[in-house]
Amino acid sequence: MGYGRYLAFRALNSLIVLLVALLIASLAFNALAEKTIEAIINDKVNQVRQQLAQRHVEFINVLKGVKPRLLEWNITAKYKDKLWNCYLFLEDYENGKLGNMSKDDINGVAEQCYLSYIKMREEISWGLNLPGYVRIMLYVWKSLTLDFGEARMKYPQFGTNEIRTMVLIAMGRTALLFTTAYMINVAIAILLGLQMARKVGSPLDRGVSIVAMISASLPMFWVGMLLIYVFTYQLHIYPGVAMEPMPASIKGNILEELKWWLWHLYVPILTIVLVGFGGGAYSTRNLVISIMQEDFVTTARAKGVPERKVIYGHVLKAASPPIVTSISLGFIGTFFGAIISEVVFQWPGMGSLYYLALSNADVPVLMANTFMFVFLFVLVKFLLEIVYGVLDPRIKASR
Amino acid sequence: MAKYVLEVEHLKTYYYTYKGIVRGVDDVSFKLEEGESLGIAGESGCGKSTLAFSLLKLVPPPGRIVGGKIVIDGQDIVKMSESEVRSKIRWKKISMVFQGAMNALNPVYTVGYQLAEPLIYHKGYSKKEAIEEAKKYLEMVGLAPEIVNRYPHELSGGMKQRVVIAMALILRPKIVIADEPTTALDVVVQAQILNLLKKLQRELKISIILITHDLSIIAELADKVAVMYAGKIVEFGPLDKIFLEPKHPYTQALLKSIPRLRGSKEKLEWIPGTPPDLRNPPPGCRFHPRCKFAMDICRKEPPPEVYLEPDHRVLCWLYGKEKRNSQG
Amino acid sequence: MIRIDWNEVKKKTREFWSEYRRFKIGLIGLGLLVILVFMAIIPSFIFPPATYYNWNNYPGWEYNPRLAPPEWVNLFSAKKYTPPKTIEPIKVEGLWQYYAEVYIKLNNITDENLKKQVYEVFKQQMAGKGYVYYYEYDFKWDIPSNDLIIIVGNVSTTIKLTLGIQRPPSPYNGKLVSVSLYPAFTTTVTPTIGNVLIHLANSNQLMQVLVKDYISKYENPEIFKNATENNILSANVLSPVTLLFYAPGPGMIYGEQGVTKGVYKFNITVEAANGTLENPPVIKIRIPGSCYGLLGTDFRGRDIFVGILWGSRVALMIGITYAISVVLIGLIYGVVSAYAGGLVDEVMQRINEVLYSIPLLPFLILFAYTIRQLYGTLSVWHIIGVLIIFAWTGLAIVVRSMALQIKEQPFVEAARAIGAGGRRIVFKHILPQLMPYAFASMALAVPGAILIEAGLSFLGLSDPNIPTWGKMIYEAQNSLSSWWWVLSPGLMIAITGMAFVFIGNALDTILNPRLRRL
Repeated sequence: MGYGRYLAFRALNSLIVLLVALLIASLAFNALAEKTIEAIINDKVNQVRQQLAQRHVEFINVLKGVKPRLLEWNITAKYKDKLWNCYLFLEDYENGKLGNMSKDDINGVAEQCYLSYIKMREEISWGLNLPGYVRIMLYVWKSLTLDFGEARMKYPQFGTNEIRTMVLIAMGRTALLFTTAYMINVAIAILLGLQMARKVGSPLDRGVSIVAMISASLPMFWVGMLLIYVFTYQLHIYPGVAMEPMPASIKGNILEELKWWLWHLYVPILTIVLVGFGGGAYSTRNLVISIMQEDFVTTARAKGVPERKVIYGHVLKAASPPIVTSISLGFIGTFFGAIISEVVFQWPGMGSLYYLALSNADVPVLMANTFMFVFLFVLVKFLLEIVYGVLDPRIKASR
Repeated sequence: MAKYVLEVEHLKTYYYTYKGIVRGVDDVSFKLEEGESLGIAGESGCGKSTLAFSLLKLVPPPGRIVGGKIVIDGQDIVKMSESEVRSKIRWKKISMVFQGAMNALNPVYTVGYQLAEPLIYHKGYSKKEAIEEAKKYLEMVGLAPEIVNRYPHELSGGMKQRVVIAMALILRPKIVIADEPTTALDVVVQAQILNLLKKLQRELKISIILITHDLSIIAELADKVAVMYAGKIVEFGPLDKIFLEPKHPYTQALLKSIPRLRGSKEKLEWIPGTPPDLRNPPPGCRFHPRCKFAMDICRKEPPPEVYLEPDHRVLCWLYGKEKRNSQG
Repeated sequence: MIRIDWNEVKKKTREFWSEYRRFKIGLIGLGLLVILVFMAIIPSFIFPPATYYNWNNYPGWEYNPRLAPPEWVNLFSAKKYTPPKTIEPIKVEGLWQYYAEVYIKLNNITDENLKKQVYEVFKQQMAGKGYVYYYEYDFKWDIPSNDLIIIVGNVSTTIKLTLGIQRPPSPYNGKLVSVSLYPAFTTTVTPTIGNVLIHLANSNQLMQVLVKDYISKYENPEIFKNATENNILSANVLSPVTLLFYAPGPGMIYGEQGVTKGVYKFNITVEAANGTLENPPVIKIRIPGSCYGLLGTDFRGRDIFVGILWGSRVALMIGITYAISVVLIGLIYGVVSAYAGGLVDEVMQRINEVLYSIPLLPFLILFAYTIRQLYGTLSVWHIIGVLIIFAWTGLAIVVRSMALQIKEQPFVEAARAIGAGGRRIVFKHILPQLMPYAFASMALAVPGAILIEAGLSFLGLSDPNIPTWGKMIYEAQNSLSSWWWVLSPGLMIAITGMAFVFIGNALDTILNPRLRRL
């Protein structure tokens, strides 16, 4: 088939998956939108009103500034009459026909008009003026262009209100913690799995197999809770949270900073590894066992290939494509567990963001986080597919 | 004075499984001279592959060689250590073309590399040198030398079979075991492979031990024939004697079940029943439940080995009259 | 018509069982499963259904201590915890009796007849005015209860209730002092149907009485002053009930003198506010204790053992429903796709692949949240439903490749040659070969559902009404030191998962000949 074609195919597939996923998510979002976006828009309108009030602005002047825009009501039938009246009101004012109105009254009306205008603009930007299916497309587009808007409240651990930045930061942190732990997992799984396959039935094999089966049923966040209890409360060798403000004294000192991170992250990493390594080792073991019973392994041995080369050369190389497949399967489970466990360790990544967004009923953040999650997921899968293609000569070699 | 390149004496290879001891090879003996080819015939499960693995000392656990001698070029490999066998005997003096050659090739390595491996590990060639050498052997088996860069999945079944044959020859062993070399190939390719084997046998003067259930290809290739049943050799002799004057009822039945292109059209006969369970073989002669000529003594006593001629022996009560009489 | 050969089935089952028996792991799994099923069934028989449907607010929890370890802790702990106890009055007498006795005592009346007259008089005057209840509580532990509940049953008219407490004699400065608190606590109870529970753990009234009549007298003045200044002696900070049990001496506010063991005497006086009380209302004193039950309680006094047992039912139900549904859907989809072949197969595969690549968790979260917002509530079945929609895809891929292999086999061709129709081929030839794999997959799928439910609960997306193990862990995360609360549900999830994984593993090893050969 050719590697190039394979890659193109996989890329196309990933894109389709992304779009379908976004579509489904947007459907859900649309259902929620009615309820929640109204609230968000009202918040924003109040915000604007407060800002302007603080600056002691005269609403009539502000209104004058957007006069031509008032005629854009043809986009939103809902505001048609109101904004037209506002326009006429402005005309009257400019033509001096409002002499009998007090300044306060004039400003009062202008305020109403201006805020209505703001509300209309917000609704347009959220697509509430559009029919359902168009709205859904709009959300998909917004997600793809990372246009997420602002969160309703402050999320101190992420530093900013802008959802896009928050979610990117969260993603980075999650990736940092998880990737480190997962790579350790993979390394252990492959080495251990190989050893288990070579000495089937040995105490190592039986022991690790049982550990694998037990750890597959452990909720990762629960294990995290237990580890915190033991390490922090009983043994006092762990700070209890994965992220604290770094003291200024060690900033800039690479070694110290590294130690700081290690000190804070070793228990979360330990949790992820403890729960995940068994499964990986066990499936690698099974894969290697079935490969070792293949004829080409017997042939290799018969030919005089030294045992070491048989295992790490023939067997491992032949096993690597299915190992990559099983790694991607294991990745899913471990990733989900890690996300949820972030809450336990208060690691401000995507999991914590989910938790916070859910408790604050902050739908836009929830949506943005979901999108990033899906995107990250699809990306990693695609990368794994690239690696798989390199390892399996049936794909790599072109006819 | 012909020198024996292979002497097998009272070889026993058993598998110790959780369901019982499977006697795969149960007291097998034969000798092979240099350049002589042997055909081992029998049904599935009679122990042919076990015998082949035993000759290479590659019996997979839970099996192992429990008794007897296998003398290759003067050395008894049963007594030798694994590392000795690996460095001196296996693949150098005796090699094997496995059953189902398609799977004998690792899909993730090139054909050239896999051919080169024996040269690298036995003769210390560098990878480059070895692959160059391998090209010669590819030509020998009738393949284009450029194939060294191909992966197994890019070759057809017949091509893979040739590669595996080349791989078996690459260290110029004296004995090559071919385990069902033509099963899973279509008839045309089968003929090609057989011709190739014959050519190699002639030109390189190697002994081929051909293991198969298909008597017709034994007829093409072998000098001597051993008929195996239930872990034992029930008849052993030169090709023409076995084919023209088969003595053991099993041999006779096998031959009768081959359809003939020429000659009178007789109804095909087949052998009723199934091969015995090697954990609990029938008492006495193992073939008696399926034998047309079974006698009382066949059910009770294992038959003696009877030499009908110096080079033709049978394991059957039909020919052991003296012994039978002496039992009364 | 699909005819099933029962003898064949029986024989195959017996064969299978003798194979299965070899695997110790599988047997352990099976044993665990049997225990779990038992655990799932019993709660219906031994617990009231309201503990399930109204897990959060079941009125019975009021009687329990909060965050209490299990009672068997006393086997290991040097300091003994107080078990719960409901104390019935050892004597109930009419108020008239009480006053009569007082009068007799004060006036030193010894003559029996006179006494009877006194009784008569008082009885006439005061019958039905009220009653006095006497209780005795033998306290012999080290860690006292931090609550005391007065249970008043079936009050038909408004009553005034007064509690008096007498501490057992306790050593202080070489002497034995007995402290009497009267009135320790007073309240009014209006007519109610059912029981009225009066908790004293946060009673400032009781606290003040204690401070005045007990603590101020026996505490070290420095410490007392310090505590008063820092507002420690308030029912919001310390429980007056705990202080009641603390032994007198310096540091008694903090329990540094330990507890006073002995017989505590309580009396409760009940007076009708207007009118009379025909019959004495039923009044009991409940000491919730500092330990409780088999698995302790959580922060709302809920019996964790009850929660765990109900939770096992939920877990098994959702696990098994999920496993069977997912495997069935995957099986059918895979077989149909494989058997149909051609364009249908292609299209089905594309759809499958897209669905397969969509990550489960974020969508679960999103949908769970959406459902909750739109319908106001989130049931555990909603979660499982959404899960099933996404989860069958992986299985379908494997089933399809297996079915394809089977389809190519000569016996299928032969069946078709002799005229067998599609349905027959699928049911009689293809599906039976897939059944073992299907069962192994089912076993291995069960823990997944339980873990996902637990994960979602941990993020706050749980069924609000019923107890599930995941929800229990979620609620326990801020009380990590309540190990009985944290460990139980997690261990149960782990053990349930283990049971199914062990079974699935045994099945897998039997079915996968390459693994079995070893």
